[in-house]
Amino acid sequence: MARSTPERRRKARVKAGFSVYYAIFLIFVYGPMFAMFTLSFQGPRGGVTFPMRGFSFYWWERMMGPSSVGDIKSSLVRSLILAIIVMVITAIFSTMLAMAFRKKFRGSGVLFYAIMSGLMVPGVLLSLGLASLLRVVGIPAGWWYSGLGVHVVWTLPFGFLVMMAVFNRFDGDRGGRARHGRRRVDGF
Amino acid sequence: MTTVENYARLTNRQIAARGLIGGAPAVDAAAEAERKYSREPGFPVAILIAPATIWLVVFLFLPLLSIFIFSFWKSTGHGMTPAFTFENYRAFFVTEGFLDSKNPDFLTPSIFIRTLWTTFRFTITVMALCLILAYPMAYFLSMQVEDFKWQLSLFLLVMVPFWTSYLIRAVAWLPMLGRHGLINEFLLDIGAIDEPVSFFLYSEFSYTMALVQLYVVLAVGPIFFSLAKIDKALIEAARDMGATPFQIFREIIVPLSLPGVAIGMIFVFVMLMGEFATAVVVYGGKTSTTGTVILNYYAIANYPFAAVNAFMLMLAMMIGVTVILRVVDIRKEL
Repeated sequence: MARSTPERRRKARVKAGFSVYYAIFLIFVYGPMFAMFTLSFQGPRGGVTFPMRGFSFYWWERMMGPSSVGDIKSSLVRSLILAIIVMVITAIFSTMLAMAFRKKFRGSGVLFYAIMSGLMVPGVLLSLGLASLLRVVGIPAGWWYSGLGVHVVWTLPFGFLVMMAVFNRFDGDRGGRARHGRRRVDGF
Repeated sequence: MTTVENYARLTNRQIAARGLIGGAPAVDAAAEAERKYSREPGFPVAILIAPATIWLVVFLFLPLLSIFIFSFWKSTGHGMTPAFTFENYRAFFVTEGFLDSKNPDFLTPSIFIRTLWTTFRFTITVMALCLILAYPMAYFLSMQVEDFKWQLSLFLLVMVPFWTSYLIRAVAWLPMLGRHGLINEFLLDIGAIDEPVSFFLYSEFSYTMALVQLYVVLAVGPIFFSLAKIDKALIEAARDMGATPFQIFREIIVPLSLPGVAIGMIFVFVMLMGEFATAVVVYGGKTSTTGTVILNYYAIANYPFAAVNAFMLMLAMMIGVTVILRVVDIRKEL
């Protein structure tokens, strides 16, 4: 059993303080979502305010049924299909890119920053640019190509960084060749 | 290994290499091995990078380039025609009566500049709050939690909201902050207020609060990684040499975590500048950000003017990111 010195007690107090902070932080980040979730079980006459007026699955049933605002089933399916296609393309691209990036090549710096800028380009800019570009060219925008294209731009940096890390682990014992790439991954 | 041994080994390898390639000039074996292993198994680099590069050109480079080009085109009321006019930029910077001293709008910046300024002001406030909240969190996770498993799971618990839609999280503030929201009910219950306060929702308060909640996790991640990378032996050494906890924090931890802080702040800055949905949801559209202005002009089919606003927003972002990179030289720190 460790001896209880003033130093040790001070450390424990600091740690306890930080733990309380962590708990408050979680409540701040998750609280509103849980409140919303609870409210989804409102009775038929209730709105998005507390206190609850009864408990029911009324609103959940409403969601499943047809409505004028939007059909939840087809939009869910569409989201799911889009997510799967984006996932597959991102996985293929980032694996290929990470293989290429094991060695430095001409333009690798530029390409690296181009991939990373997907993390930083806000949706409103990219969507505006692409939508007006498509309008000029005369192609109507659609979720399965322009939407898909932009989504891959956003997901590519994540997949790429993960695959870089994976490849660098493979190459770790093969010498300093991988070091260049690894340092950049660590940076992010 | 002594130099002699080393030399002997090298010579042996060279002999072996020479034996393999017959009468060709002597090649340093190590260099040759390096070249051999450096070659990608099967695929040339060009083929590996081509699809992704084309994708990025079509869906990232071209859209951003076209924003710049369209900002000089002419709006026709229902679309645009190719032109080279600065009319859109004039409308962005200057209102009609800007130079007319009798006009009430004399020398007043245009609404669009003021909107960009408001967007920037909110961004700076929220960035500061995010940093204040995120740094202790990252510090706790990296320095106070010793067990790696705990560290990882507590970190992931904080980061999970990052993978949920920010629109959902913005909408989720409504039942908290409304006139009959949780905060009002709570304050009524404890008797702090007599009647519901409407100040919580559709105000600067709700907007700032929602933005902090939405983007604080973006700051926690990078700061956590840079703090976790700090060699614990360095801190031990400083302690052994008699540094106080505050000195250790100021002299070692803060400077070494700066790259993480910079990256986190860049993420938060860029996301906040491009923000458009949250203002509508929790600010009730009472004020607009440049993001909402862009969408509004897009909706009424004035694409060139939307493009001007977008380009100015992009410019402001680049300046902001450059400033952050000036303060902290990430490349040097890595």
